[in-house]
Amino acid sequence: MRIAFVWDSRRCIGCMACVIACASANHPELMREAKPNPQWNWLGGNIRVVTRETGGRPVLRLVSCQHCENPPCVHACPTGASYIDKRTGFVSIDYNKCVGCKACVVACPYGARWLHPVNMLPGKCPGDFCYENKIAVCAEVCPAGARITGDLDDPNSPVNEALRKHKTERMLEHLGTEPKWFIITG
Amino acid sequence: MGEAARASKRLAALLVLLVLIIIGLAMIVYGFTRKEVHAVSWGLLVAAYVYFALISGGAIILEGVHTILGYKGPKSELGRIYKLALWFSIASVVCAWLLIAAEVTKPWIFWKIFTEFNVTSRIAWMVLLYAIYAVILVIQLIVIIRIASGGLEKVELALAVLGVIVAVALYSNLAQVFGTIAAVPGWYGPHLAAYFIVSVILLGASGQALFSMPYAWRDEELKRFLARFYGQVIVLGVLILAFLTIWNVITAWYMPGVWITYSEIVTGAYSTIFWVVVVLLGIVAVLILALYATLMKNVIALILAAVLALISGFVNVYLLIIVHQTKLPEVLGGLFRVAPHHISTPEILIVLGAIIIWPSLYVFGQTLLPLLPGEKPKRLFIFK
Repeated sequence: MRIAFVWDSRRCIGCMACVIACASANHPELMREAKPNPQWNWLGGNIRVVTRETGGRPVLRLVSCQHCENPPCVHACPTGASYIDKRTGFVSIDYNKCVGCKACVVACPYGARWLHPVNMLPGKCPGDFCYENKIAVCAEVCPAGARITGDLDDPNSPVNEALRKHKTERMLEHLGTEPKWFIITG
Repeated sequence: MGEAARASKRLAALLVLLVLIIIGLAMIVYGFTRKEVHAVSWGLLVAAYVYFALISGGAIILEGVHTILGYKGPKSELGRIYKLALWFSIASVVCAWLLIAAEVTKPWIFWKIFTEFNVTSRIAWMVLLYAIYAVILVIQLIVIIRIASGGLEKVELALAVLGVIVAVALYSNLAQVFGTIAAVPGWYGPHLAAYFIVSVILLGASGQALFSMPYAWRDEELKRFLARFYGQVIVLGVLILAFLTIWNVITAWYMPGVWITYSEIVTGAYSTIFWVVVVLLGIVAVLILALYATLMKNVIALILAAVLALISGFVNVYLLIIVHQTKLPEVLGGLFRVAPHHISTPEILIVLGAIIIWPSLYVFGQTLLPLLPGEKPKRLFIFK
C-alpha cells in the first residue's frame, strides 16, 4: 500500500479549516495553551501555508509532509527513526529511536517538519491522532472537498481516479524526492 | 622544591582543575535542561561543536609530519611537544562531543546510532568514525607515553598512518553532513569537504601553537622553532582558505538560490563581520603575522596569528552553519522561508561551559599524565 494525497487547488477556498483541524486533533496540548510552533511561527500543527501574491490572484500552497518515495529526511536520520512505513507508504517517525538530532528537519526541502516546543522532537504529518484513527482530519473537515487520500497501488482508488482525470503537479519535483502529494491544477 | 612539596602542589592544581571541569559540566547540564526550540534548527551549539571538532584535528597533522614524514625539527623539537599535541586533540574532541550531546534532544540514547545504523546518514558515519578516531587517539597516547622504553616505533607509524586516514574520512564526512543537504543550497556540494580539511589544518595548528606555548615559554630555542613551524602551517592553511573562500563566493554569485544567503554574508546583514573578522583579521592579518612569525621566528607574532585565526575561524564556522539556514527556498518559486536567528542564554551557557572545560581538561591531562619530555610513567601505568 502507498497512501497518497491529492489537493485540488481549484476547489480550495483557503478557509484554513484543514490547518486548524490538524493542529486541534494532532496537537491539542499546544492548542489548549496557545503555544505556537516556533519554527514556523505558526499553529502547532502539521500544515503550513505558503502564498505568493503577484499581480492578480494569489497562489496558495498548503505544505505538509509529501511522503516522498526518496525522502531526504529518511536518508539523513542516523538511527532509522525516520522511515518509510511499508504497510502504508507513509514517511513515519519511531520516537523510541529518535535522538533529536534535527537532521530530518534540516534535510526536508519542503520545510514540512518542525520541532515540538515542549518535547523538542520532530513533528510531521501524519500526526498521532490521524495515524491511530486511520483518518486524515484535513480531508474530513474540508468543506470544499479539495482533499483526497487513497492508495496509489489500487487502480480504483480516488487518488488514481483524480490523477487520471486531472492535470496535476508535485512540489519541488526537480529534487527527485518523488513526493506522493499531488496538486490538481487544471 | 622537594618531592613532597611538588606532589602537594600538583594535587592542589588537579583539584582546582577538577572544580573548573565540574563547573563547566554543570553549566552544560543546566543549559541543556533550559534549551528552547529556534527557527534555525542547527544553531550556535552545532557551530561550536564543528569548531571544536575541527580544532581537534591538529594533532593528526603534527603526528603525520613527525611520524610519517619523519620531520622532527633540527633538535627534535617536535618530539618534545607532540604528546601535548595529542592530548590537546583529545581535550578538544571531548568538548566537541559535550556540545553535540547538549545539542541533541535525547543524548542518552545515542548508542542506538550503532545498533540501528543507517548507512545513508552522514551523522551515523560521524559517530562510527568518531569512535575509531577516539580509539586511535587514546592508543597513540599510550604508545607514545610508553615509547620512551623503545620498541614501539612501527606500531606508532602504523597508528599515525591509520590516524591520518581516519581523520581525513572523519572531517570530510563532517563537512558532508551539511554538504549532502540539498534543502540548504548554501551548503550543498562537495566544496565543504575541502573547506573543512583546510580549517582542520589552520585551526588545529593555531590551537596547538597557543596551548603548547606555556610549556615552551621558558625555552627560547623551542619557542623560535614553534614560531617557525606553526607559522608555516598557518600560512599554508590561510592561503588555501582564502583561495577557497574567494571561489565559494564567486561561484555562489552565479547561483541565485545559493547567492540569497551568500549575499547576506558578503553584502547584507553579516557583511561587516565577514569583511572585518573573517577577511581582514582572519585572512589578511593572520597571513601577515604568520609570515612574520615564520621569517623572524617571532613567537609574539605567532601567538597573535593563532588567536586571530581561532577567533575568525569561529566566526567563519558560525556564518557557514547559521546564515545559510536563515533563508531557504520555498515550495513556490521566487519565495524564501525566512528563519530569524537569535542566540539564547542556555546556548551561551553551554558554549561557555565547553570553553571553561577546554583548557582545564588540557592542563589537567598535562598535570596528571607524563606528557612532557623526560616524564616517565610510574606504577599506575600511564600516570605520572
